[in-house]
Amino acid sequence: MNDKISLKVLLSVIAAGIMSFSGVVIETSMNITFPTLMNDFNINTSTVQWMTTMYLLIVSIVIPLSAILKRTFKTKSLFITANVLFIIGVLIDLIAPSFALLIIGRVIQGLGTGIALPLMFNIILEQVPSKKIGLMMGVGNLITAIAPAVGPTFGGIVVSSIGWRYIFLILLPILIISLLMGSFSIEQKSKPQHTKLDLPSLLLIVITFAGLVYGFSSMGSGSILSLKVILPIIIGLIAVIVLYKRSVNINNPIVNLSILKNTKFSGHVIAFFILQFITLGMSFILPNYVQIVNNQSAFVAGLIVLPGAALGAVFAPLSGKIMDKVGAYKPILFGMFAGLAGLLLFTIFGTHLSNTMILVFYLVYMLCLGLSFGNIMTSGLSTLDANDSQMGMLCLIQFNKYLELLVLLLFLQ
Amino acid sequence: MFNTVQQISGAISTSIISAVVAISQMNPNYSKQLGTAIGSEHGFILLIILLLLAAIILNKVVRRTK
Repeated sequence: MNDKISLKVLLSVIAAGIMSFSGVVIETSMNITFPTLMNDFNINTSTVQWMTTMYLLIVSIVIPLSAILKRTFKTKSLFITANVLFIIGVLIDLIAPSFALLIIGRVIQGLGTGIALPLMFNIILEQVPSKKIGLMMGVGNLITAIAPAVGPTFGGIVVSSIGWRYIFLILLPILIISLLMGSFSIEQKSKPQHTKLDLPSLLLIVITFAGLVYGFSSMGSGSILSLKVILPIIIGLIAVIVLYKRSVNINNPIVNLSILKNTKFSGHVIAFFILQFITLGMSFILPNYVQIVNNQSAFVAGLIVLPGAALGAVFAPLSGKIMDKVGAYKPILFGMFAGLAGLLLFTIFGTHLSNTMILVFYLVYMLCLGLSFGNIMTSGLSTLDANDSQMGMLCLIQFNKYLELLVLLLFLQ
Repeated sequence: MFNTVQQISGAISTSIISAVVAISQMNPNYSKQLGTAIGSEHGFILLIILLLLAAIILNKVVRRTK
């Protein structure tokens, strides 16, 4: 009897899931709108990129705070705050008359997503019966895996037909439904307690991330070796070193950076970073290429990246299963070869890529991502010792349970 | 850890790649079309170097046995 997931818990997970989904859909559909935004607001590439960069910067500052937020505040208050912030951000972008205001909308959305992304998994871990945790983690991961496949195509269709502002308008009612659903269903399992936030650490995280992103973004204004580029990057690097020293020496660091002493683990983290770097780089380049170089509509740009994105979503549940059978090394190795082949093809045909080439080469690259991304994470967590492996265990469970999830989905059809 | 890395990596990536593309777009000798194409090509080259680096690191850190 206790193994049943109650309707309320299920609704809570769905409500939080809708938020994560909407966050990623807006993020991935934005890249398709860049050429349009550049025309509408009369801005260049290095300015328009702030739509994505600023948003991700805010999300990456908020996410490390999730453990503290969860301990200090009620889950429902967090959810409502996140959702209302997101809705406000969407409303601002819906009507924003200037690009600056558009960015402010994205910042507020970033605050909302940053709180909401870990919330779904927290609700699952805390409220779902232990036997069903793996299954629900699978559902949660599937939601975030499908979103990047939906985003560009959705964005392309909306931009080409009714205009980019409708991306926000269409998501608005969905977010309101999620808000109502969550307000009704989210329950509190653990008692909130006062936790002390280490403010210097938070400040250092902000300086590190903001410094690096601002420095690299400034390269787009022309001169790579200007003070505007180098100074923020150096400040960012100094801040990360101080943050590391501090997190090793104090009792309750915001992020436990001491696990990076394990070089095997940090190797995985670096590779994971690079892979995500390449994936986001591709999702920036390709839609722009299709629209500006090949002179196609946003709709076509969305369609061209759809097969690759869909392949990525399909592999999210499959790759864990493959890893269970043959271990992590082989799928990752094969993935790396696929990735190198895909990128090599992109480079060779660099300035005269046809739409078909982009579609096919991107498929090859996404095969790489599908085979390696999840496995790098799992393999990385498996290098941690017993002390840190609690988190590792949870992730391993989720990969093993994917098949269970797929069977369930088939039954629901 | 992986969650945060995923977001900040995306932010840094978008800023660097857009800068690479923007630099070629600003070259007065190129049309916007050609500038974007060349900038994208530079982007691909950067990405392939990074992937090679990732492959080398992974080859060292991923356990070969089951």
